[in-house]
Amino acid sequence: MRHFFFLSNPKRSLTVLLVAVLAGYMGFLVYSQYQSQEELRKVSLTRFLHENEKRAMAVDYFMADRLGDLAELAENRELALYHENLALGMSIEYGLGAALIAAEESFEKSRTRLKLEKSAVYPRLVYLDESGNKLIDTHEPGLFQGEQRQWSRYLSSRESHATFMFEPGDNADGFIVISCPYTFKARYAGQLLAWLSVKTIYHHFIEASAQDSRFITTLLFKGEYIKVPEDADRVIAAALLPKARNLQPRAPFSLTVTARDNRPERILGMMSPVGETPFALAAFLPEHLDSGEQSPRRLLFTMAGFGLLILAGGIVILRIDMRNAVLQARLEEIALRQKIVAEQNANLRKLSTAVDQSANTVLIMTKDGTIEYVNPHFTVVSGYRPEEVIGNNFLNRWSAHNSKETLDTLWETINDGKQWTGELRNRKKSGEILWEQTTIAPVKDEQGAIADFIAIKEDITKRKEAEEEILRLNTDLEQRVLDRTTALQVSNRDLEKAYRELKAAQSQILQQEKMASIGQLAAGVAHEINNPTGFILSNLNSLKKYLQRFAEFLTLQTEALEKLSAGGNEGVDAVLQPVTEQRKVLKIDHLLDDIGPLIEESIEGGERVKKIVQSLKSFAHIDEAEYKPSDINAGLESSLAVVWNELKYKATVIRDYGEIPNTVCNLGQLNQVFVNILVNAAHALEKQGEITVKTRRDGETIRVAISDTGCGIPAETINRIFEPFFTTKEVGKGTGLGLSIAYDIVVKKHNGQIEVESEPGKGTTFTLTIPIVI
Amino acid sequence: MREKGKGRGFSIILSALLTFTTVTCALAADLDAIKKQGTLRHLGVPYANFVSGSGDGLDVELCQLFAKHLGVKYEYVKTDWGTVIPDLIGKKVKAKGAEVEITEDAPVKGDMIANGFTVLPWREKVVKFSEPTFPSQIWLIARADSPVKPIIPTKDINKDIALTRALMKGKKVLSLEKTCLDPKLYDLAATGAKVIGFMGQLNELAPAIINNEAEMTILDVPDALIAIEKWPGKLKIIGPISPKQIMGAGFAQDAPKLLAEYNIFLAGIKKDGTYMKLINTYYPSARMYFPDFFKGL
Repeated sequence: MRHFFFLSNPKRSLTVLLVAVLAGYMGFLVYSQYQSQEELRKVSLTRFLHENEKRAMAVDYFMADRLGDLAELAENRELALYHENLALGMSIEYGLGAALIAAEESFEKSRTRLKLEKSAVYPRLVYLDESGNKLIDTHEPGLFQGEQRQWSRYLSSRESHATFMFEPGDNADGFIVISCPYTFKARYAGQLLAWLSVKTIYHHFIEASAQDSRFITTLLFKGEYIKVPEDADRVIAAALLPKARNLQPRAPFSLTVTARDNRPERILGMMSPVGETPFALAAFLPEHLDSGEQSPRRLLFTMAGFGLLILAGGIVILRIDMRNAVLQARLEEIALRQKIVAEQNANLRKLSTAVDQSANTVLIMTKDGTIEYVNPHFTVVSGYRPEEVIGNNFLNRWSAHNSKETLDTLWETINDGKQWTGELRNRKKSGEILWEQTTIAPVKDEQGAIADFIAIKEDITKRKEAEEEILRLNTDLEQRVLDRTTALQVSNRDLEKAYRELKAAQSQILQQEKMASIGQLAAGVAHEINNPTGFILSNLNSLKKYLQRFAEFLTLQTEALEKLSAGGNEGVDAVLQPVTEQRKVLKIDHLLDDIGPLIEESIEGGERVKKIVQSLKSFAHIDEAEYKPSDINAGLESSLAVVWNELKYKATVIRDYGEIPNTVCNLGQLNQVFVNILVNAAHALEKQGEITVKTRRDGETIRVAISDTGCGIPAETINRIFEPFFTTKEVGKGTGLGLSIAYDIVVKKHNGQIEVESEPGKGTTFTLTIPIVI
Repeated sequence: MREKGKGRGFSIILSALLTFTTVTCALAADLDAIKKQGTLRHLGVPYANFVSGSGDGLDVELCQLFAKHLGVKYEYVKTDWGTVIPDLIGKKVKAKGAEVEITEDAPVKGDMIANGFTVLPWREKVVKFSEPTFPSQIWLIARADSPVKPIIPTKDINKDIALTRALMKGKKVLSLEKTCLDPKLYDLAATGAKVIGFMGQLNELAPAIINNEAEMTILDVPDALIAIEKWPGKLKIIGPISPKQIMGAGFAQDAPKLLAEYNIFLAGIKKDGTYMKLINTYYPSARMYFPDFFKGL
């Protein structure tokens, strides 16, 4: 019991227990470390073995590829051709040599095609014939100079396989020679030999990856070391290498050698054969590099002692730390509380400052509405000092200025614990009205019961005044709009009246222009009618006289016939003589000759009158405001007839009518346009000239061109000819509306175009484009 | 023999007269005219590796380089062995052994011949040859199954020729008139062989004997080497028919400046290695057969 006295104190017992657990844990850690070191050593050894195997495999693949190369070379076409020609008996001088050269070139290409570390894989390729004569020898320049070689020793037989040989070099590491029999038509014909550089192969497959390697690798051929790296003694001196013949494939082994510091050192090793070839790789690794400088057992003890020391120290430190930690925790708790209080105070100060300096009025009331606090802005807005309002009931202050309904709703809402927002009307100390946007919210205590109310108010008096002003202005504006609308309606009626009058005036002017045109043309038309009427009347007068003579002669003839039929004493001749004489006197025969032409002439005159009247009738379509399919060529023809008297003495009219379809138009209006342009054309001809009227279909339009060879239109006035009342004629000779109306008719009423081209002294062409409407 | 010598003298006089006539009226362009016209017209017949017919060949590349040397464009003018000389000199010719007879006018179509064009005595009478461009020799080729065996070389070309000619007796041998394979040039009739004038092209001689049209043919070395490479095991080279020959580019006699410029050009490419590069491309084994020709190159 005495021995366990120290355990009587529970605190101590706990400490001892903790130390024991900790010691156990440390022991576990140390053992685990030992185990992992052992595992690491095994893994490292495995990796070493695998590394050597991997390299041996790479060399094996390389050698297999080389055998494939020789097999390919044995299929060489040029070499076969050489043997073919040889079999035919050809000589080197006459033909056979060419095949040999071609084969040698092919060998050289094969030799240089494959590269290893920028050098040709094959330093040399040779072909021997069956007698051992060297026929092809292609090699790297400078190599194999002045050699004395017994080539026949390389010969084999048709049944042989490719073999590997090692040829030590004078200065270099020597060469591996692959020898392969060549057969032609199933007969042994020669030997293919390929040289490989040991140095290049060793460097590529072993040295190139040796920088990260901890071991050295040697190359073996048929149980002899043929390549030992120059730095081998960093692991094992060349002289201490085990006999290669004694090494077992893939069986790790170890040997103890004396290191440079005369201490014994264990070396691990392994030999890996290179496939089926006579080559092998033997690798050597110092054991301490494999498992580390310290052995796992030594490490175990060291770690255990170190762990116990740490454990003891840890217990002491732990105890001190625990006390410190408790103290530290208390100090931190105090500091934390102080910090919270400081933060709360700071927040309170911020809130207080915010309320005091708020641009809004803040007011705090008790549950029954008694004002407890107002901020400074309250005084700024209302003019009341805090002491004048604190203690007052806010309902009493507001009831005089707001409806009971509003205040009841407010009181009800906030007593329900909800927030109320609305506009309240108040009065400043100065007596002015004060409008405030007010939000009142309950302030609840920790138990959630309402303790106070806080009201935040914003002075919106100006806004309310502005709203009232806007309302007033709106009312005023509405009245003004009403007045203005009334005035506009009156004005519109006046305008409509004026428009109607203007339209009437325009119509009157149009009519006047028509009348002017007609009046202007009336004299000519009258002359045209008067002329045939004159000679018709004259002819009728002549015919009247002729009729009187015929009547007189007929009476005489009747009397003579009666006498003859009465059978009187007078002879026939006597009876007929006066008839004959009177026939001559009355010029009956002449009358008979003249009467036909007179009638013909009269009929012609009548026809002329009829035509003019028809033309006038056609032209009279002016009065018809009707759009119907019409023939524009016919319209032009009737217009020409109407103005004929204006044209006939001054112009030769050339009609060039194209085949144009009828189009829906107001032909009367268009005739008016044609007449205007034709009359203008006639007026433009100072003496004799030509007027050409041409019509054509142009796509979906009809183009009417009226050209004259007159004086033309000066450039300064050509842009004004379509203006109303613009005229260059003497006063009273033109209204100045002709072309303006033409423009109106063609462009506005027929959606067409009217263009004018004019050259002073040469003439003018008006071109009308009228869309075809069917 | 006397009669033969008499005839030759007459032909020489005639050819000299006609040559003079040719010089005065031929239309082949000399150097200045070619530079002016801006094009060098190369007369060629597809033959061996000189003119492959596929746009390349030893002589095609030489002419292209020559055109570049002159600063003019190159133009290939295809012709055949019967018209290649008239196309150059503007006169039709008729070869009789070493002699030549000029018959009538012909249109000039090219400025130079480069076509594995062997220097032959009769050709030298109507065409000016450049410095040698390639060596040659005429060989006797037989079908592989022919009982005739290739000669065993004696190191003496005359003995080798005699051995070869002795093997021709009674054999059908193809030849091609108006070319370097003209039987009169080598007096094949004297061998006792049945010489057959082949009607096809030069390139078709080797396939003709493979097809049993005859047992043998004569071929120049470049063509023979290509034939045995192209048809391995079908043909065999028996031996030589002629001593070594040379080939060169042919020029009209009124184009001395063009000929001189070509010789300058040829010397240049022989010196800078371009020539041997082309030889190695088209006739890699030529150096072996004609070591003297390529010595120093």
